[in-house]
Amino acid sequence: MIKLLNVTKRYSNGVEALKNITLTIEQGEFVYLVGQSGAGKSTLVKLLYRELVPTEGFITINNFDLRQMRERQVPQLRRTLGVVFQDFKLLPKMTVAENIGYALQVIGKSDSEINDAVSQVLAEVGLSDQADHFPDELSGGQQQRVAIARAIVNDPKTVIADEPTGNLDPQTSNDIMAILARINAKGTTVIMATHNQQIVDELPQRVVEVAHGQIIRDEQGGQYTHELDNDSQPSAR
Amino acid sequence: MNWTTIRNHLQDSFKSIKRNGWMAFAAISGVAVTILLVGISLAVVLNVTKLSRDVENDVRVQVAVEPKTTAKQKDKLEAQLKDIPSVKKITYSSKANELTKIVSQYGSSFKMFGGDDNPLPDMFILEASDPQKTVTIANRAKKLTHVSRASYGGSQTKKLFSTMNSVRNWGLAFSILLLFVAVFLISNTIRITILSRSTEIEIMRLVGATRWYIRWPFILEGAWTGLLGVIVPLIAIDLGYSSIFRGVGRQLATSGYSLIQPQALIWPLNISLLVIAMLIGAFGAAISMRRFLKV
Ligand SMILES: Nc1ncnc2c1ncn2[C@@H]1O[C@H](COP(=O)(O)OP(=O)(O)O)[C@@H](O)[C@H]1O
Ligand SMILES: [Mg+2]
Repeated sequence: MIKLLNVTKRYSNGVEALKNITLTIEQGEFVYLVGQSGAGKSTLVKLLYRELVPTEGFITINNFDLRQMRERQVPQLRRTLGVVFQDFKLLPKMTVAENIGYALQVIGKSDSEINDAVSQVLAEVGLSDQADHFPDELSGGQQQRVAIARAIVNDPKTVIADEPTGNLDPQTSNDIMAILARINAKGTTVIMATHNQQIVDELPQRVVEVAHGQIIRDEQGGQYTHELDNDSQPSAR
Repeated sequence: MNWTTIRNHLQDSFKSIKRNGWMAFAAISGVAVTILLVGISLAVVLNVTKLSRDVENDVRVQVAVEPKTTAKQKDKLEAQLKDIPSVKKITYSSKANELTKIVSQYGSSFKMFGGDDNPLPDMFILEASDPQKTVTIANRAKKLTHVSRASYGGSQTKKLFSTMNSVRNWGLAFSILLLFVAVFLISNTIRITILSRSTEIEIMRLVGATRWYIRWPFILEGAWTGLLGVIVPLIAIDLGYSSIFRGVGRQLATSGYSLIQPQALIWPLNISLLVIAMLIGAFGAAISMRRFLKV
């Protein structure tokens, strides 16, 4: 379970990216964070995996109290999370299998554990045949699937994705969404920041809309835009 | 930490040194020059300490007799010297005897001063009951007739000490300067490594690698740089000291002073230098990690 209570994030330059946010997400939910560019989606996401600490307010996630947490406990929190980005962040000199295994290697897993887990997630994202390819031999959609495989290889309770389809065409985006939906169906919480209207409208889930650092809508099975505020229709990006 | 982890760290750190190529070579050379100077300075310091202790414990006062002093006058002088308080023992050494000592120290070319050409004085060698008394004894002996010169250990070795001291001081000053250069060079290579591995570091942080897991390869890289840098200077210092000991040692032998035995000096010196080199490496790594490794 994830809880944010009266969370405010002010950057050192004075920008208040989030203002007094309160939000609860149950285990196993699928949540879209939508809103215009600059609304504060990425800031919210970074607070969740504790890349950032809130200026004010409380956050608990997977039983970790992010406010009281000490710096050296952060790795333990991150092992319960899987994070996916728009730019994949794959290591170019490693194969697909090595990129995924790396996530387990650096937390001290043995080679045999790594091999088993990697072949399993490769199958889950449909890339078993590409295990020994290098990232630059793959399409963007395939690279993002590798990144997702890496995010879920340690069985996280929560997957956090910041614009995972931002660099992908609509068809490939749908493939990615199907994989995320499948992960969610197994009980993993999925939180996805996006401003891709088509996706949100085609795969309805809980929608949390952020504008100017505040939650202006929280709607189960919602569309990207609320019927009532069509005027403030966000332009993509 | 398990074996897989240790293996990963070792591999990462070796890979980085190889990848950094010339930068790593510069850092290793920096360590080498630093360690060479630190080593020489330390060897000098230790020997100066040893020699000054030898001198402090030296109870001898050398009294040179004026040329053309008759045997009778010498007997009288011997009696007077014996009367000086705190003189425990007195031995006579003729100028021929003194020449033999010189020849054994500096080689047979001095033999040509034999016989009447011998410019050396006859000597009385006094032994004080206590090393502290040597100064007073020398001062009193100087005032006696037919005494041309009276010297004790301290006065003889002053010049040697002042040379050794300036070697030590310059050596230490240079060492400190070079220490900074070496640390700088190492921190520079580590910085390059950190920057070239920024995506890896980002992934490691993201998937929950511990801070120490992320740091280890950089610390090791620094330590290897120190270790590789220490090899050549250690060999040079060990061989160099052994041969200096043989050379200078022989010259000192007759004076009753001696340098530290190579076996006694080399091991402690090697270990200290090794530790210093690894610390330089780790310190260089730490500087860059503080500045560039945000974990
Ligand atoms: N590191 C930062 N320092 C200062 N301001 C930032 C930083 N990151 C984001 N911001 C500002 O915070 C606001 C929210 O940004 P962000 O969370 O990235 O929005 P979104 O992901 O919805 O586009 C923007 O005004 C942005 O300029
Ligand atoms: Mg963003």
